Amino acid sequence: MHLRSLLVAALLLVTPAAVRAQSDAPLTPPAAAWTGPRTPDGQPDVQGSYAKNWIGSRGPNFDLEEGQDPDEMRATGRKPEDFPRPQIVRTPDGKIPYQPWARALRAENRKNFFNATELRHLDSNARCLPMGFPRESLDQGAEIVQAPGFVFFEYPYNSVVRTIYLDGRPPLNDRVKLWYGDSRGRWDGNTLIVEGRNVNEHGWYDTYGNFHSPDLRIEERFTFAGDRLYYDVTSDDGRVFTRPWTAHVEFRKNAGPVDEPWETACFEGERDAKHIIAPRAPDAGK
Amino acid sequence: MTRVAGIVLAWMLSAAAAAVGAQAAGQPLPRTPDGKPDLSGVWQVLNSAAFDIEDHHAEPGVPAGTGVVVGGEIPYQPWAIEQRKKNYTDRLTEDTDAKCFLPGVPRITYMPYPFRIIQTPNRIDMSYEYVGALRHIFTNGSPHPPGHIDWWMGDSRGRWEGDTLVVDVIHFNDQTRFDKAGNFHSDMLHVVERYRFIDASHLDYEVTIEDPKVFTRPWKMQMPLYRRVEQAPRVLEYYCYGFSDVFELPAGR
Repeated sequence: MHLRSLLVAALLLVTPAAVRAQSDAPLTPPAAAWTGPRTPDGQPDVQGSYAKNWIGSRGPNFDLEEGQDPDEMRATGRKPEDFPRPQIVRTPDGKIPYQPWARALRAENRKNFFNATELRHLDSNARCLPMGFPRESLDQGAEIVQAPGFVFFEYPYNSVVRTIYLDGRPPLNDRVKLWYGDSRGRWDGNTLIVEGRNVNEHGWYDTYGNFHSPDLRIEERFTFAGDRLYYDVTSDDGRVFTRPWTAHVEFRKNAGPVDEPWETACFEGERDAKHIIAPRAPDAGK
Repeated sequence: MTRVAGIVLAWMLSAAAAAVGAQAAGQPLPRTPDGKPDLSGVWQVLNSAAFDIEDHHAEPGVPAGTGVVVGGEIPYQPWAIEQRKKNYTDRLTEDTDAKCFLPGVPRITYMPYPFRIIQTPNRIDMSYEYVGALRHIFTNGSPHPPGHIDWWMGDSRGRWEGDTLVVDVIHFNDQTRFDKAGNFHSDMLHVVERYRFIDASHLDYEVTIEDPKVFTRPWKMQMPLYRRVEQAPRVLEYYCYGFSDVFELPAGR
């Protein structure tokens, strides 16, 4: 009996590890032909409102990588089940393939977040600065609006429009850096494939300091199948990562009517950031 | 000028005006599949209203300009003239442009930055380069939500009167001003915007301002909006609050 209990306990210990084991294998169904309605200019008509298909902190907002940092759990009260499930970063260990210096900086970013003494220790979102790209696309539901030659992703959370150009225009000069980058796309069946670049370095991937440099190049695949939007974003940044890596999240199309998007004004009322760091640096908020 | 020369000049001017009209008529206005004028595209003003909506001479960093106020004068109540002067003196710290806050309507239209109009049958979105502002103009016949609501950009409900888009905007806060010169309103501001094609690349933008707390009567602004006609125009970003060193707050905070 006692032995059996031990066996059960051992199984319980082993099973989560087995469940958590993963690979680079995509979770998105293969691209397929588009059989639904089309817009007047012939695009698959995917207009509508798409919501996060995850609950609260299980998504990519806090930490894209899997991990259960004991310091973090103490500081935030988060429980092991609150941590992102391991399928967001599609590498065998669920970790972003940082170069050694970048892994060290990422660890420092995370440590600083819980012991912030300067404004730069906080992620941009916590300060009502833009979330930036690709973070907003990973973390926020969107309303998709299409027009001839364009797909617009409107993010109610920050009242932001991300414009995807389908008109084959040339890329922006590399020296132009934007929070939301420059996005040029094309349709392949039910999949919108977007090349993103010109992203500045001020927006992280998440709250705890996963980051990239302004050299970042993005390839995104928005796959529309049934009521799902599968989102795969591959980050290529030779200054920070050892190889390109892909993150995956899923969204659900809202079937019924959705609330009107009303005003979002974050920075106008921002009073928190300087108080978060105030105990250690009284004048840092200026 | 002789009387004859005057008549000839008047004839030439009217002929020129007719030619312009004919040219505009020859180029059909863009229309959506449902037959409405299609305002889609990138637009921008070419004036100095962002600095001062009234006639003004140059100051350091401020281009001179003939104003956009129809009739030239804003009909302030006596107390408001004093407030306007006070606003002028604190403009470098207290104006939304100094704080990098949302600037309200109609000011967002004549900020010297481009904006994109995204037109769908039930909603017209305006996406502005300046502070990344986004306006939703509901054209589905829905009414304003009950209020009062203190919004920076108000609540916009649009309708078509013939080929003119008429947008009714209420629910403002009293924190925004009309320009950098201190012209202002209260939270009772009621704005009616009219967007009407002059030709395919120009819109006539007429705004009626009503605010019984601040003005003695309704008054108007009027200005053209110019289509950005270059190949593949873009609306880029002016997130001034995230500038240069994103790790510092901008002046005035």
